[in-house]
Amino acid sequence: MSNENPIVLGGLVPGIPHPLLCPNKNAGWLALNNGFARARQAIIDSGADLLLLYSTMWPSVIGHQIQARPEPEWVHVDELFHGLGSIPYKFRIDAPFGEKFAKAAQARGLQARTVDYHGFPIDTGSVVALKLLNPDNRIPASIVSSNVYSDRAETLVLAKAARDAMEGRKVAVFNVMTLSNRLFTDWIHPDQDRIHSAKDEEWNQKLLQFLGEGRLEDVAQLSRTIQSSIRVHKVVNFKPMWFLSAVMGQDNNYAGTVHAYAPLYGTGAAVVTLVPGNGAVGLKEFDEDDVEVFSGDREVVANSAHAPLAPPAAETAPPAPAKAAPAPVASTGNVTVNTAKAPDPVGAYPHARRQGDLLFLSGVGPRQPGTNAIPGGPIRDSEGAALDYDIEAQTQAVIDNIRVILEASGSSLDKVIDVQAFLVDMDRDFKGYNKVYAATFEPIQATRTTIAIRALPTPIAVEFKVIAKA
Amino acid sequence: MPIIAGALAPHPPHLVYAENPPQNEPKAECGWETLRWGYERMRKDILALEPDAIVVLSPHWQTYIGTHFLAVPQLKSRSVDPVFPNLFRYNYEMQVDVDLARELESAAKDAGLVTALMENPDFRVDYGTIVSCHLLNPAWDIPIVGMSSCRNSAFYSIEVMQEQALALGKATREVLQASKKRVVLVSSNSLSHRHFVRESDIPEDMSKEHIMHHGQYLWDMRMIELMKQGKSREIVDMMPEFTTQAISETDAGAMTWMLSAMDFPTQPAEVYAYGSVIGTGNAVVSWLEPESKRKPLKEFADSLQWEQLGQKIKEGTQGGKFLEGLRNLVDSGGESTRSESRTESKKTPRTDNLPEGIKELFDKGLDKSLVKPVKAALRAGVPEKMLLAAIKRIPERDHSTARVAEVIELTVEAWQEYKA
Ligand SMILES: [Fe+2]
Repeated sequence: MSNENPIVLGGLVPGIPHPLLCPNKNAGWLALNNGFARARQAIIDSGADLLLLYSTMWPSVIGHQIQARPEPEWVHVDELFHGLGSIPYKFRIDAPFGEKFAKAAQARGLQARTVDYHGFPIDTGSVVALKLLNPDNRIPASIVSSNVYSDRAETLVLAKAARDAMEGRKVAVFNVMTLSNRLFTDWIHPDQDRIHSAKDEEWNQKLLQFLGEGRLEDVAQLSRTIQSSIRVHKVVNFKPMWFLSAVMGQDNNYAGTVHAYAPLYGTGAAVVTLVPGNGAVGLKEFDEDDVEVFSGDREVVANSAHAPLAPPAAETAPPAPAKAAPAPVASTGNVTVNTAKAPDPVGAYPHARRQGDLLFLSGVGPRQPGTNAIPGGPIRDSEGAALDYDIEAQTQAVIDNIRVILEASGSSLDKVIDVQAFLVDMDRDFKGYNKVYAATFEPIQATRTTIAIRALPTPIAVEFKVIAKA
Repeated sequence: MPIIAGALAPHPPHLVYAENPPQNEPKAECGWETLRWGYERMRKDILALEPDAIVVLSPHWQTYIGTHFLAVPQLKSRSVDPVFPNLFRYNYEMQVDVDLARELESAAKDAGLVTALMENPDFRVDYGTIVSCHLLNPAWDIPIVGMSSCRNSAFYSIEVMQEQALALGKATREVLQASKKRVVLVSSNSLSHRHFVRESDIPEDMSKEHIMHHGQYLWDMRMIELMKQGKSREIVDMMPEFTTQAISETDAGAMTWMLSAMDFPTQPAEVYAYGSVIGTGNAVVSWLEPESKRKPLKEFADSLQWEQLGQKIKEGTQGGKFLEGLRNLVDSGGESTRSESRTESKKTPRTDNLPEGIKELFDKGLDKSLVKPVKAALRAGVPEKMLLAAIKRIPERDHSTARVAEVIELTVEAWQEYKA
């Protein structure tokens, strides 16, 4: 993390519309409305030039979405509390920041896109937060969705991408969320509002104590416990505190203020602000989820406890497989590429990996996909005794495998920039290798380095390492 | 029988996107044809029943406090899918059957369920309702009753959700049995429901489309097989397990509600299509009530509003036969083998000497090659109002020149038969 903290203020606000639409019907809703006003003042005092919202009420499925319509305008009606009235709005969105954020997220291996469409349904929570925190569009805002499937690593990387995009900015970042989220499931009179259960109340108090003490990372670390204790499981996990802590710097050194806390139709609603301390340092233990780049291998079904089992066998049903097969997922467009058309890797590496415009291939030998047969024959038998082999056939097989991997990655042989070739017997093989190489690479004019080495991990004589344009 | 059909009508916006209707802004090259063509067949079957209202329960109107019912007579807005805004930005205009909505709401309330009427005119209807209704009836000329999905599965359990959906179905059934309206019930949902988390660069690239997981496919096939066998009770019994294991969109309760409202139909369902959309499993299925394939003749005559033939047709036996014959002709339209156009004409014929109502049809774009057969029909003595009514009864979506020509010709034949 950079030492210059672009975040000047953090916080959380509830998204249920009562504090905006009918604050006077209940003392707690009014207290929340006043809490919003104090948070609004805190944003002004912080000197922030951008307000970033992470909304738990904006679910996304295809990665994360970031609002990028400069002036979205609509008359919003909540799908549940439509009887409270309509909310006309016109917001000022920082579209260039949204684009930057999306690009930064992509560069860190995430699926992300901006949305710039008239009539895009901005969620009630974001509408409430922007109306109350930034009523005159004093500073531009940005909104990011919450992916329903994402878990911790992905959320931390998203937060880091947000930071990447913040260079030179002063940002106030707020979560749109409740603490305990159990709503009443029947209509209540405003006077009857209370936190749904004593258990929820105890947890909310504990979290507010932590937040009041500025212990944001501690709350983030509690997210899984919070999910199991006081969250109705509408999504895979309770993520907003992961986002907030990671975007703010992953530490416990904040000046926290709880501006309001009240029940909102049974849920625990709080307005909290967190001002970063000076020289805050994270004191975390090793954390395997805390990665810099998301590896894009989230496999919702196969890795999930919810992986579907085959239905019970019956005369009418086709025979059930013994176990659920891993889900095939198209990998084009991913950061890493693996293809069944190239030989299986012999270690924990992908066939290729894209970084920016470049495609890096792992070392490619002549082995045939599926059979592992070596065209031109192996260089030794299973006992280690040397065999005669055809270097030209092996070299051609290497080039063919490279072609397949490049094409599976959306590239092609003519886009190869640089080749490193490894030969186990330079004296014997250089000539044959060089001849076959020229047949393909002469017109391509990639740079090349040929190195003699002692051995390769399988009984082959040649391997190429290639960098190509993606 | 006031419930004339039930429909499993999934709502992936991709299907509307791929169809390129004028209401949707993004344009596609192709895509998901198997499902779309299946939908076209279901549409034909269901609209042939001449429903008075479509009652639809959508998973994407998520309410946590009770079941809500749309109760504003007209709703017009722009529906943008929050998940696939790149594919679905659709301008809709719908009529709501508010009377029926109110009846359904109060029956549900009387049955002990939590309910609400949605009376805010600014409300935007969820995209699930819009997609399913478009795919069933793109002309939007049948009133809708929209119902929300009360997410008790999130707050309690799938079993509570199921009980609530069964009770809602029972209340729906009681209202509709006492109603004169001919109603289609729509369960708007996919079956297995795991999406890919990445979208291909060309969303309609069908080389990237397949089911997310083989286990889900097996589950879907299991349920579809039960539908084909008319085993609705088994489907409902299995629903909680299916919903959990296949991560199915039946979690919204729509299908349980529909089957309960239809009193667990035992006739085999008509399965028009199954296919995946971004990994999810989707089936297009109808349950047609056997005895209610068509409107009673009297209603048919009313709908034609033939003042000239008037009571004679409604009362007389011969008139009834004639009417039945004509209805068959009109309804079958271009489907019969006689559909080739016999109306070729080189120069643009005059329409100014035609009766006003018919001239108007040509002004509105009816193919001018039809002037000749229209004039021939009038010369043969077919009453102008009858001809007009016959042409107007052809559903707009089927308004091909060949079909209109055929209806004109058949009307002449029917008229001559009647006179004889
Ligand atoms: Fe859906």
